[in-house]
Amino acid sequence: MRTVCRIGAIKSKHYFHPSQALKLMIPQQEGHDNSGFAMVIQDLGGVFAEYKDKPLMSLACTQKGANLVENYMETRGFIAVYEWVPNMNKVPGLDIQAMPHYIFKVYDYPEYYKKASKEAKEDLLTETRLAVRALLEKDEQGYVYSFWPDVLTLKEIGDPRDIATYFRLWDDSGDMIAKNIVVQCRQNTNYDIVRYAAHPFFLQGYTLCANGENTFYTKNKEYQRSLNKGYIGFESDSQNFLYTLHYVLRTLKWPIKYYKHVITPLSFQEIDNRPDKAVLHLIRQTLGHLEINGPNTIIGMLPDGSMMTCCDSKKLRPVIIGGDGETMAISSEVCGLNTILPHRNRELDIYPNEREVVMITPEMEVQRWKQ
Amino acid sequence: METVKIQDITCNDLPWKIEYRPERCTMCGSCVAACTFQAIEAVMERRSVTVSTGHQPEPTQRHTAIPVIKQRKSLANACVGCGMCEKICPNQAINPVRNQDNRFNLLARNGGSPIKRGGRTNVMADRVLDKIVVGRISQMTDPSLDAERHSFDILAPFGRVLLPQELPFSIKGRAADCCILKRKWPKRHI
Repeated sequence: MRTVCRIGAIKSKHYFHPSQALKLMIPQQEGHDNSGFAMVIQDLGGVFAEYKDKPLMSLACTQKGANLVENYMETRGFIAVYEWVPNMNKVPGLDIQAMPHYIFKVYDYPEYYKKASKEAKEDLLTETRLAVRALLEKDEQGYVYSFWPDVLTLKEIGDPRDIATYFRLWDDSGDMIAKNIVVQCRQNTNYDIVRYAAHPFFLQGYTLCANGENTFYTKNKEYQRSLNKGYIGFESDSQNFLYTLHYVLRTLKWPIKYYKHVITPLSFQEIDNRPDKAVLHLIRQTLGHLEINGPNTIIGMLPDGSMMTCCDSKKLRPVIIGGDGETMAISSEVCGLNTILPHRNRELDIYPNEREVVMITPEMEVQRWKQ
Repeated sequence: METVKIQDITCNDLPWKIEYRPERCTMCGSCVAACTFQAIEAVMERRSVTVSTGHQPEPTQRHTAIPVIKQRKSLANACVGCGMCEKICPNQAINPVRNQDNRFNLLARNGGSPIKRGGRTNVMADRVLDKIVVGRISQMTDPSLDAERHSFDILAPFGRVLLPQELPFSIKGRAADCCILKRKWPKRHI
């Protein structure tokens, strides 16, 4: 089946290289695909293995931007403990609109936050990232994608193969390895190509990428803006999916099965035939502004490393889940899975339907349920 | 001559009209000063009068300009009939009169501009269709807008809708279901 843009995710018991993610995505290329490359990786190994509890900032910026951020972080009391600068392979003729600097910097919390609660620390990280974003945006000096322990984000405009060459992602040097990668090879936007508009999006441990579109974008955006100061940007309508996921799981603290009921609720007729109709009616009444519409598929990653996927209420964008028990992958098309997991048992592949949610737990257990 | 449009506001459109007797008015200006709505103003008006001053009728035509008190033709400065002008006038030269045939309610609800029906004047107006926000270009162009691909399962909530954090849910059991603690609000979809 033909899809519009492709998304993918790999979760493994063992550390693997981002080149696997590229191998998952590149066979699926078609049409306008491959105008960019973006990935969020979580549960890092390699050079970041010893800094798992310390926040890692992912930046793409100019020299001036780097100085601005450094000064700002110093005044806020963050202590830089490790910096990884990718050794760029500047081959002429690569299709990439690279920024001058890519900085992946691990910080230690400020002294006065050492004994703070987990929530306070997390709020500090988000506030810091928003402040750094505002700082860089003012003079257009760069982009900050994530600032979170054990999470690294890379987003770039260009051909994914060339981007991978530029960052030496094909080399498998062992520097950058992880157990979870969410990836996308297209700047999914009808508007300007901006780096912030590239999936996956990340907020406070929640990562999400989506293909297709959300025709309730304006309605979602206007409601979400009032919910949380971290719900900003809205460069892509897929940010709506992430913010709703974050809101349902982190702010409201509801079980994950209600996420699907919020974004694509059952019809009123179906709700009336269910034992939990009172709850479902209430959710539809209260969170009507978070309903989404239009064709799309979502891949999400939760703070504990679980991955989940679901699609719109008509299954207009397909998705497939497969794996060998050690490594599981979610992908828009089966050809991507065949490339990275050729010897898996294909009879066990899951093609979820429009009411289904599939989740891969950190123990590699696959859970699936109907909304 | 001044241009007059058909739909221009006149004093006859306003809920109160000012009755003014120039022969009693001494032009002291108290009424204009007292009117907090600036519903009246002092203006010059032309008069053409026939005068005869001699013992025998010797009518002559005289053209003069005289100062008068006049009601403003404006919805924003409409007289509300408070009667301050009448109270303050030493000569009973002015008073407001209720205008039964006014069109104030009709005209004022469109922000002061008269409701226009048809004609070319509507082309430049602010129209409802101009105010519709289109979230994405694809909302207008994408074939995915086909009705079949979208759900139109919408009901309007009637009554108070609780905020998400106010929902009386508690998470229970191994299945982690949301359970309703108690239901205490009137709420129905229509």
